Amino acid sequence: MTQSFFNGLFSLFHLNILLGIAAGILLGLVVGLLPAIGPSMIIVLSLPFIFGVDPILALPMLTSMMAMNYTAGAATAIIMGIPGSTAAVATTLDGFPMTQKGLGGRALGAAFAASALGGVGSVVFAILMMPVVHPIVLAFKSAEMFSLLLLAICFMATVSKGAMTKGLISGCIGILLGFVGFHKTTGADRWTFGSIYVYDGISIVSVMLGLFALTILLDMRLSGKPLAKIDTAQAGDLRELWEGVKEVFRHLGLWFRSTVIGYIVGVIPGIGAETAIWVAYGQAKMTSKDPSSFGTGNIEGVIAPESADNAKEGGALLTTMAFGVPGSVGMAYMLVAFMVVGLQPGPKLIAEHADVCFAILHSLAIANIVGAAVCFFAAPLLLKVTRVPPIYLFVTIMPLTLIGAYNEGASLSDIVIMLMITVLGIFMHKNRYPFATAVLGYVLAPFLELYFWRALSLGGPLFFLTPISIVLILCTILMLGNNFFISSFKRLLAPKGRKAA
Amino acid sequence: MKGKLNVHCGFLITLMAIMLFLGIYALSYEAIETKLMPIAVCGIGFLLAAHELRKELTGQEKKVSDEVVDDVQTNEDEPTPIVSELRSYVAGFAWVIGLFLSAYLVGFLISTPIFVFVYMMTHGRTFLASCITTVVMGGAIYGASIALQMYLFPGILFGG
Repeated sequence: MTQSFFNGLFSLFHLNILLGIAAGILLGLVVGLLPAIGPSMIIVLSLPFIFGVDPILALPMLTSMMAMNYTAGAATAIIMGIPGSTAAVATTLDGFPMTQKGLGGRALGAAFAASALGGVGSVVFAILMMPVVHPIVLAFKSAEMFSLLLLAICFMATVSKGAMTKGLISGCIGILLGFVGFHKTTGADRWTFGSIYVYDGISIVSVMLGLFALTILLDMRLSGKPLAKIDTAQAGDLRELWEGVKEVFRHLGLWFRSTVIGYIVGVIPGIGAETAIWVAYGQAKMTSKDPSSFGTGNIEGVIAPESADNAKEGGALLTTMAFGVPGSVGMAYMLVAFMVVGLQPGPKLIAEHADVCFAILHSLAIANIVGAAVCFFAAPLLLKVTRVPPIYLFVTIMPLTLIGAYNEGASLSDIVIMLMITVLGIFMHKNRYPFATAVLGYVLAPFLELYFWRALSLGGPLFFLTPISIVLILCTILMLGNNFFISSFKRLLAPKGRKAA
Repeated sequence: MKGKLNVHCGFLITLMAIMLFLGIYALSYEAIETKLMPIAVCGIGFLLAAHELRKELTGQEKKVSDEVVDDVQTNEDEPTPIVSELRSYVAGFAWVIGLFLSAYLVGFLISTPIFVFVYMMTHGRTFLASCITTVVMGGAIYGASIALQMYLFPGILFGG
């Protein structure tokens, strides 16, 4: 493990890899400042271009991109009150009021420093956990993996706010898309309707670009509103930014607690970034000397969510690499990226490619430190990106999605499939069906089936009666029945008079 | 208040029909290993869509989605009716189809700059801004195709 740790670290010190990380940081920063385009979008758009690229170059670049996206997302949240990503929503609560009070620079400095330290802290935790993770992973056989994958898809479905059924339907759509094509075990073709083109299944890039990128672009074109509506010139005073950095060191306890919370939530598959930031925000408020000032511009309300936001990525990355189950929504797209460069995340990855895993974790730490420094000095300049009208984004990104879909298999049929999936995506998007669950279902479908049949042949019809599997299935049932249990509990506790009424 | 048939209902009914069709089609596969999981997922998907449709028709769904809309769009104008939104999507999608067809005819390297220029001019941008964006975009795609050694479809008129 120690050797892999250093191998991973030294493998990053090549010019092309460092340039890749730098490009990832830059792209992540710019995209992070555009509220319409999240970290997932930039990873999706990168997928067609990383085919055949060395994993040690492609994956650190994407990891850097994603890490920086979260850091930069705080800038729009603080300056304009528009969160760059859903994870930055909690930062808006106190960050934006601070800007209104003329303390925007301080809030920005604190957010950048907390993000960087949170990200680095989670990487340290992840590296310390690597030797422990391997034996845990070995305890997961086919039955446990099947239960875990089922849990992950259901977890992702429940993240969709107020619409668990829609999340589950999305998951089913994704799984069905994943079933199309040649069945490896029996050799039969499923739902190809005689077309040779889909024998190998529907292209992963077509699904991602169609379901996600093109749909969001069309939505952005529809809104047609400028991303920034207020003057952003007041933020960016270096002295104020430095004061913000010092605030983080004055609240080291808060930073540590929030980082640990972010890391733990990140490790648990599919809970989502929102959970980490809100739990961190909640504990910051509970432990604060002045809880009543939260929501009106308290610096602790910026430090806590930003630390947790970046910290969750280290935990989520470890779960993604070790189990092949994404620890967060963003990691669902990273999971696809791993497959595109020829790596299969799961129990074998850490054993066989430990140096690559360490390299990715190191790159996450580097991206967090370098990115925060760049944000710090370039904040005034970068904020101008938010003034780009959506029309420019549409005319530049839309042709790239078509070229990207074509580029994967050098076939126009890929574009046709992508356009068909876009139609599905539009209806899903307008009716608030979560894409992440569909993508996860699509990616995990073959493995879900593989582990199911393997577990069935090894353990018989009651294959799921192993301790770990039972716990995982119980978790799935509890999670799916959560609303039902809560409402039943409330009914039981409700006064009799109200019941009668 | 009872709900009524709307775009979401139409989407759900289509989804149920597709799930039913795929499930019945999967029954024709010989090996149990091939058909069990697809049939199970189609069945679950069908039931979930039916449940969602029931919620939509009884008005429960409207309540939930209204709450979500309130949460998400607190600072925005009144939400546009979904039908007119879909019309705008169709207009946007027509541009995508247009670019695809022109790429099929004359290739990406020619169709992309044409698309950028025409789109910007028809959306109220100045001639100069349209020209600059066209040149930058065309140059970027050409440069990327050379640097990344990407094969771009040349179009059927130019030997594709």
